[in-house]
Amino acid sequence: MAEYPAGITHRKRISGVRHWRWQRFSAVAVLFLMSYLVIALASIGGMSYGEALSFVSQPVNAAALGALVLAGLFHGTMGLEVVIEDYISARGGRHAALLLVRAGMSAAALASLWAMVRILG
Amino acid sequence: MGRQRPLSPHLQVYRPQMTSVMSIMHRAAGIVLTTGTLVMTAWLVSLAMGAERYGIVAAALAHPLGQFVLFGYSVALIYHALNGIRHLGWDIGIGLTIPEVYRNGQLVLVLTAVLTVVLWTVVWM
Repeated sequence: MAEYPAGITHRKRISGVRHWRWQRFSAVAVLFLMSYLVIALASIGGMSYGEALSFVSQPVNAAALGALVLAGLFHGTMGLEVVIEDYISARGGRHAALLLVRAGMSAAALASLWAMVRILG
Repeated sequence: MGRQRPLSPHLQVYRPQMTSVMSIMHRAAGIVLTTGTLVMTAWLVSLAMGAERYGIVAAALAHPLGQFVLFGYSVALIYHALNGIRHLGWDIGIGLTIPEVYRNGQLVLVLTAVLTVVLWTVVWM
């Protein structure tokens, strides 16, 4: 087993590697989903209520939107976590900021999923 | 927290280079875009709540100020996506020499401008 600097336990290192990998996996997912939706939405432009409903209800769009919301919020959460860990060194502040970001992004994910279920239902 | 742990570089004693500025812009764009996902959430939730609520959000986005914000999000999104591809290349060892890093950096900046113009041309056509 490798030697780690002071304060870095084996468990912490493993979780850092996992974090790094998932940031890349989610990046690739967001890249494809976002490209598809931006091109689809840009070619339509401003949508009326009916147009928006039928756009979101189309199976391919619904799947892409649902996946994008989850992958995007996940990717954004991981990015903010790295920023917080880099710049907030006070232990209490760091934990509070991490908790706030995770709670806020989870709430947004739940709200989006609720919206998707309601629109499709 | 361990006092002997290394700190992030002291930005104020660094002369800005294209590489470091682009790296900071990547982070800044990423932070901006997380708020963009919240706008997308608001749009979806309003759509689920009916025509009246959707109308409010759609009107806000169609307002010149809303369009300006969306334009800003589009620049951040295209830059972060292109520079993200650059980062993924580095992660597997592609484009890592100093001359290449400057060249693919310039490419990202030029493509960001081009794709932003293309995107808004398509939107307004």
